[in-house]
This record gives sequence, structure tokens and C-alpha cells, in this order.
Amino acid sequence: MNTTNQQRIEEHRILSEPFYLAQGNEVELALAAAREQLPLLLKGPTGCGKTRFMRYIAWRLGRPLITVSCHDDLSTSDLIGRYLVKGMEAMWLDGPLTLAVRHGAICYLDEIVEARKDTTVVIHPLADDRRELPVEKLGMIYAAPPEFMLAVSYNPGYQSVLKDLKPSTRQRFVSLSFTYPQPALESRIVMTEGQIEETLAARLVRLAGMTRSLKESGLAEGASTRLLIQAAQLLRQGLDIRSACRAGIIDSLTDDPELLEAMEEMVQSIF
Amino acid sequence: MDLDAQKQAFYELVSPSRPNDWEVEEVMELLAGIPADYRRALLAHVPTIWPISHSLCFSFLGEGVKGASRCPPELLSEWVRQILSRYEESGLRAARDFMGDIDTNFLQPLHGNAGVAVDAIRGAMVPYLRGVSGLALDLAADGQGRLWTDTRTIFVPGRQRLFAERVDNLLFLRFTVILQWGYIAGGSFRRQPDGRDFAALAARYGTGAGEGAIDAYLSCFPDPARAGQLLLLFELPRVFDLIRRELPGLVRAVQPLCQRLLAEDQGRCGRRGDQVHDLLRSILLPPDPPPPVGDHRLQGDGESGALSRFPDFYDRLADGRAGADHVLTLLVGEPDFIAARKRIEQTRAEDREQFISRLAGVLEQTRAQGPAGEKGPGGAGRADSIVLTAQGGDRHGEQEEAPGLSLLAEIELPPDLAAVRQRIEADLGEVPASYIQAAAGMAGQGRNLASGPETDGQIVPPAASFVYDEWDYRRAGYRKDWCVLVEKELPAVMTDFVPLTLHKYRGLKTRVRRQFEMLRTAHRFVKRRRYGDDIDFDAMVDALGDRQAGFAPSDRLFIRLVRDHRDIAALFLVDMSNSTEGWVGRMIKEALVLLCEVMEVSGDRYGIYGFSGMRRSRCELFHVKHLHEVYGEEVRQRIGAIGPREYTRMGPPIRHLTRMLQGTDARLRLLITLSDGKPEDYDGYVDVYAIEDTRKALVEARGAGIHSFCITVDQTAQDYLAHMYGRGNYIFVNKIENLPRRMTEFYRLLTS
Repeated sequence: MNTTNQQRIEEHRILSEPFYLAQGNEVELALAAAREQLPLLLKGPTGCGKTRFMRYIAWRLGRPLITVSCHDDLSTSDLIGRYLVKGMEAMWLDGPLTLAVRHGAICYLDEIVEARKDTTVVIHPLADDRRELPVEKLGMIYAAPPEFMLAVSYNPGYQSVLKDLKPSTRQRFVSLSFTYPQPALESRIVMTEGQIEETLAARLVRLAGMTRSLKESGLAEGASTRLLIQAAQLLRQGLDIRSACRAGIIDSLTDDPELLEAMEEMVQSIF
Repeated sequence: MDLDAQKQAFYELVSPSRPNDWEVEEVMELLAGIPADYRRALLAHVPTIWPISHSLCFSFLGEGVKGASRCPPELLSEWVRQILSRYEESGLRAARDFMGDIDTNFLQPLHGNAGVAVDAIRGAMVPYLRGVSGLALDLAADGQGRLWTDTRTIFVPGRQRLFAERVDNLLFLRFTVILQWGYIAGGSFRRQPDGRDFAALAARYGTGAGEGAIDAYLSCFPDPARAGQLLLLFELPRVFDLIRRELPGLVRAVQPLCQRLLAEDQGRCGRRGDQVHDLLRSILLPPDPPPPVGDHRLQGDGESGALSRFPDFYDRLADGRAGADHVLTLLVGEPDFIAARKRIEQTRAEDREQFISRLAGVLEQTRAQGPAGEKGPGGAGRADSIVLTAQGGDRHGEQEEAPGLSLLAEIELPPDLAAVRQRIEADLGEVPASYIQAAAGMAGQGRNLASGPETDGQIVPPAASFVYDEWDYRRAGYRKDWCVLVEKELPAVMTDFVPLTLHKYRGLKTRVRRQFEMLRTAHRFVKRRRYGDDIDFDAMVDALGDRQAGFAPSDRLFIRLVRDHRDIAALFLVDMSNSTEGWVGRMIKEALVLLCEVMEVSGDRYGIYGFSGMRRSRCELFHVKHLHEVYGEEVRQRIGAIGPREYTRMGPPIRHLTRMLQGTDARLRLLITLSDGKPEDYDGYVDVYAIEDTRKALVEARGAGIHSFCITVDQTAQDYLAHMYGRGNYIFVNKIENLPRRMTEFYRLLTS
């Protein structure tokens, strides 16, 4: 069984350096938190680089990264593990959290607010100075090795009252706030990831900046870096700039005809 | 039909009011001259317009008679709609002007051949402008057809029809708006002439040595208005460069239009070699033959900086009046530097006040949390300061600066405060130390004052009323027992308002009802139940595994489809201040009617209260529907009775409803405020004070486990909204017609 687990954990190892440009001192902070064995809370708008950041940190620390995308059907068994029946034998299968604890990996719960609040309570003993994971069914308490790290992410921009983090969960973490990168930095990211030339990348970033100023005018969220990269990829495939921006950015942001028109005009003005 | 019968019919239409006989007679005589069908069509709109404005109604009939030959009866409804929205926006005179020329203002635009009406494109243009500029700029039609800006709002001619094609007009309009933004962003309205600049003018024109801002400087010229326009021309190269860099696509598209305008102009005036003309050509159009090198005679200001060359520039161009000035006016407009300066000063003062009071609040909080925030390295307290550094970007090296600034660096600034700080920095270069000192002083003072209860001026409440504290931001403390709130009944009135509204929104109602039904029947599968519709395979496998491992297996092996019990209690608080008079109030009521209809479907508990009042001794809360009351005829009548009353003191009613909601056992408790602008009352309950008290009341509600949201009906989103309601806790509806739809939509999104 250990060999299976070993194989499973190896699948999560990040072998080549993910492309990441630091916005500020977040890398140092995360590494410091790792040394002090503190859990991380990443917050920021969608597509601003939270998940990429975790991959980068995992690579820097040389630890496997186990990512769990949270949803509202996620149960504690899904996180901790369960017994399965094989032949006439009951077999325990570690869940991602247990797997990470036992192998000193990084467990990253993406969009944690999507999970039900009672589910996320299981991470509490791991997220304070006890750093242990009680597994009721096995009757065991796993103490997390120093290499183990817990990280969660969420997007504070949602308007629904049902999507917020409990204070008791929130107040266990070192928080890193992510925003969209500075224009120069974001251009470099779009240029590198989308493999397009620099001036074009800068203009895409300028467009994104404009859409982000529209929050007051009814746009739920401005264009993310991820959308820009997506548009850049369409461009790379030879699409013309307006269709790429329309399909890759604008139409993904809203259905409101007036906002669509305004953004369409922005594209025409910039390019 | 004879005149008397007609008059009688009119009186019935406008009953119960009784207009002057002679007025009615005059209109009826006019009406007698048009075909009976058309007359009936016109009169059919009287009940709509009469309650809004009597004078407007008479004018409408008069102009309607004149337009009888041109405007087909089936277009009358649309015409009336436009008249009313014009009236709501700019008053009686504007509405009359609008009616006066039915061809230009209504029929031609309707057939799409009358240029671009600003009102029609505002919806897309304002987001465009805001997106491009990153500023909360606004766009408005100027009554006199001028193009200018006060640095907050850009005023443009109400209709742009320079070109035959709509798309060209739109493009040119967009360009001129962007040009105005260029002047704002390029700092043209913020220039500070120095003593030498004034001295140069004194030497040249013999004016006294002056001082002051750019408007004072311009007033020293023989023709200040002309000087203002020429200053914009002087700066045009720099501003145009900025726009070309930022928006190359726009510049590329607009250049042919500029060329056409300049060519027409030249054709019309036949003045070759006009200096303004040549200058515009050289700036705006791509250089045809390369420009002569070293020709400094006619250049604008290439880079931001000295005004020293401007008097020369002025003298050369001031007298060449007619010529290309037409094009110049079309492009840069007729600037009003005085209005701009006043607006800048006002914004600066507002920012200063907001910054100081908010920072004082933050300092106070930080101080109060004090030792609790320090949980050793990496504790929760540490996490806060990390937020600051990550958010604020590079903060290294600020420790060596003035103590005030390092103070800023150490404290986590909430987003709204950070935004104000950014604005101040953009305006003044840095946050003046005096601001921070003032805030620090205020925070300290507030602490002392807040510790002792405020007893002066206590009010003895009348019976059956409630007394509430009020937050005074200036001392960061409560004024004890400051406001008296009285619960009142709205008199039920017999009205056909509700049936009419339901008829009007029958389509929307059906659609929204269906959506709300979906809410109620939002069924989902629940796993691991003791009984249910199907076997939960995961649970089954777990149980088998457990049994094999020697554990007692769970008996929760079924999956069941459940209808979610929503368990929501929502209170709606409706602004009944006199500013809601007219369409705003009407639409709010219509929105309430629609909301009630669909809330019944959702099954959520809900109540509706109106509020108004005057002074702290008389805040009134009007009962429309209690939480547990059945939605019936009485409630409908009370909705019909909602009407504009006095002022908007928001703190007390919010505190009162918070208390009410605390008494309910619902899992999710919502307080939704519906308002049309800033809180305001008679006795100093204005601006920052009112906003801070409202904010405090909402914070208290949040502390009591109540989710508070606000729907604001306003022309534009105001800066204070985010601060007052908290980010993400409000929506603003700028098109009042959309309110019923947006409101139900908002409620649905909020609770699903």
C-alpha cells in the first residue's frame, strides 16, 4: 500500500519551474511562512495568479502539491479518506489531505468558500499550532511533519452572503492579498505566457485596466490576467485582434449590451 | 363635440384637481381644430402627465396640436415617454424646449437621421469614458450646446450632427470627450502659474500683478474666454500625444473626420494660411510633407511645463477670430476654468475630510485592538500587516520618511481609504502631513469623548416611540439617546395603482415568478440519509468497508431529494423623502408591488417599512407590511399610499429594523434599503456626518448577524456608496425604469 501511496504522491510533484513573476514580496512571505510552519490564505480576484503562485511555491520548496478544487458536495471523507472493499478485505484509502499530511506535501484547497462550512472545519487542527490531523475511522492522529503546508484560496469579490469564510477559519492563516499585477509586470506575463510581442501585450493589459475601472458601472469583475493570456493565445493562432478580444475577453465578462458596446469601443480605440 | 362637453371631459380626466377655466378653454379651443381621432389620442395621455406637472400637461396639449400633422398617433406614447424623462431630468423648461421642435428632437432621431443624441448613447459612453480614464467621470448634455468640463463631468452638446453618418457623429463625439479627459488627465486645469508668469502679463497688458490659479492667470488677458480656448490649443500637442499613445485606434479612425472638417472649413472661409487652421492641421493630421524643422513660430506646448511661451502664442492667434475657430471650438470646446477650479477645490476639500475622518476611524480601531493584534510572528495579527504590504506594493524604505507617512505604511488601509489616498496623491503629489496629524489628533480626541456618555440635549420621548443613539464621526463616539423614532401607520388609500402596475408588468411578473418558483423548489440531492429515493453508492461502499474493518457500519445509506427550506427573513426599508417625488417614487412603488407578488411565490418572510422625518426628534417609520402579515388588499393599499414626505435620516430606521430582525429566528436575515441618494436631514445630518452615521448603523447591523444591502437609485454611482454600504453590499440603478427588474433580480441573486 505504501508503494501505491508513494506513486500517488509522486504524481503531484512539480518537475519544471512554473513561470511566475512576483508582484511584491509574496514569495518571501510564503517561504517564511513555510519555514515557520504557518498555513497560507490566498485571496484575490479570479485569474490573478493564485494557483500559479502555489505551483511556484511548491516548486521552490521542492514539495509535491495536492490541489483540491472545493465544491459544495465535498465531504470530510473526500478530504480525509475512506475504507474501500477489495475482495473480502477492507482497505483504507487516504484522501488528499491525509496523503499530504503523511508525506509532508502541500495541500491546496482552491476556492475554499465553495465547500460547505462544516466540511472545512476539519482543517482547523491542522491550521493552528497543533498541526495534527485526527482520522477518526483509523483511530489515529497524524502529526504533520515540518514540510507539510496547508494553503487555501478564495475570491472576496462575490456578492452572495452565503459565500464568506467563517472567522474561526479565517483567523488561522497568514493572508496574502493578490491583486492584478502592475501593468508592466502584467504585460511581461501576457507576453511570456501568450507568446505575443510586447506592444500587443501592453495594449491587452491597457484594455484589461479599462475593464477593471468598470466595477462601479455594473461589471462584476474586470478582465483577469488569465483572460488576457487566453486572448493572446487566440491572437497567436492568427485571429484578428478584434475577434480575439471579443471572444477571448469581452464576451466572457458580461451579457449587458451597453457594457459590451462600451468595451467593444475600448477595443477599437486601443487597437 | 361642443366646447363645453369637451371641457367637461377634460375635468373628468384630471379629477379631483380643478384647473383654471380659462386655461382649459384655451387648450380646448386649440384641440377643436384637429381631427377627433387625434384629439382623443392626445387626451388619452393627460392622466399620465397631469399628476406629474399641470403646466407640462397644458404645454403638451398645445404642442401636440401643432405636431398633429406630423406625428402619427401611434408614436404619441413614445413622445410622451421622452417628454417625461426630459422633464424628470432637467425640468419644465427643458421639456418644453424638447416639445417645441417635434421634428428635430423626436421624429428625426426616431428615423435615425439626426445625428447622435447624447442621452441615447450615454449608457455605453459613460462606462467607456470611465474605463478609459479610470476616473469616476460623468457625461452630460449641456443645455446651451457647449463642450466643456468641470473636471468631474464632461458636458457635450445634446446632439452631435456634424456628419451625415451616425457612426461618424458617434466617433467624433467620442473623440471630443476623450480630448476633454486628456486635458483633465494632462493637468491643464490644475496648472499653477508662478509669479513670473503673472509679471510677464503685467508687463505686456498692464494688468496688476496677480496671483492664484490658472483661471486668475487667464483673466489677466484682454479676452479671458479666448485665452482659455487658446490655452487648450497651446496644450493640444501634448494632450493629443497622450491620446495617440493610449488610444491609437481612436486617433487613426478620427483623423479622416478631422481632415474633412478642416477641408470644409477652408472651403467655407477660403482663408489659406490661417494660423489656427494650420496649427490644428499640423497637430491632428499625420504629417503629409514632413514638418519644417526648427520652425518654432507656431507650435503648441510640446511638454508640460512653463507657461512662459503662452502670451506670445496668444498674441499671435488672438485676433484671427472667425476662420478655423469653428473647428477649434468643435474640438476643444469652450473651457470654463473657473468652474473647473471650483470643482477641483471642492473635490480636494471632500477628499481631505473623508481621508481624515476615515483614517481617524482606522487609527482608533488599531489602537483599540492594540495588544490583541499581536500574536507573535505569524499569528493572526501578523497576517494583517502582511495584507498591507502585499496590497500596497513596494513599501520599503518608507521608515526613514516623515513619521506621518511611515504611520500610513504600517496601518492596513481599507480599500476605500486607499482609494482616497490615491486620489489625494494624484492631486497633490503626496498626502500632506497635516492630514495625518489631524486624523491622529481626532482619533485621540474621539477616544476620550467616547468613553463618557453624551448627556447634553437629551430628548424626552413621547409615548410609543423608540430612542436611538447616533454616531458622531467627529468625536468618534455616540450621541446618546439622540434620535426619537416613531412608528406610524400609513393610511390605506383606495387606488388602482396596484392593478395597473401588475398589468404593466404582466410579462415581467410571469417571468420573475417562474424564477422565484425555481428558488423555492431548488431541490438538491442530500447524501447519507436514513431513508430516501435511491441508494447512496458512496455511503454503501463506506459502510461495507467499515464492516469489513470491524466498525459498526453507518445506516445512512440513502440519497434523498430535498427541497431546501430557505428560512429567510427580509426587511425592506424604503426611502420616503421628498426627493423621491415624481417618477422615482412611482418606480419604487411599482418595484415594491412586483416584489411582493414574487416574494409570495418564494415563501420567504418579508416586511416593508418606509421612513422619513424631520430633525432628530421626529424620525418616522411607516408600516407597510409586517414580517408575518399576509399580503392582501390592505398591504396593497398601503403600498399605494407610499409617497414623498420629508428628509432622509437613515441611521435610526436602520437601527430600528436591525432590532426587529434580531427578534426573528430566521437563519438568514436580510435588511435591504431602497434609497435615492445621500442620507440628509435638517439639523446638520448632511454629508460626511450623515454618511458616517449610516455606515455605523449598517456596521452595527452586520455585527448583529444581519446582512444589509442597499439599492440606490441615482444618476451615477457616487464615490461614497462603497464607503457607506461596504464593498459589494450595494447596487446602484441609474435607469429608474429598470428598478423593478433589477430589484427582483438582485434579491434572487442575493439569496440563491
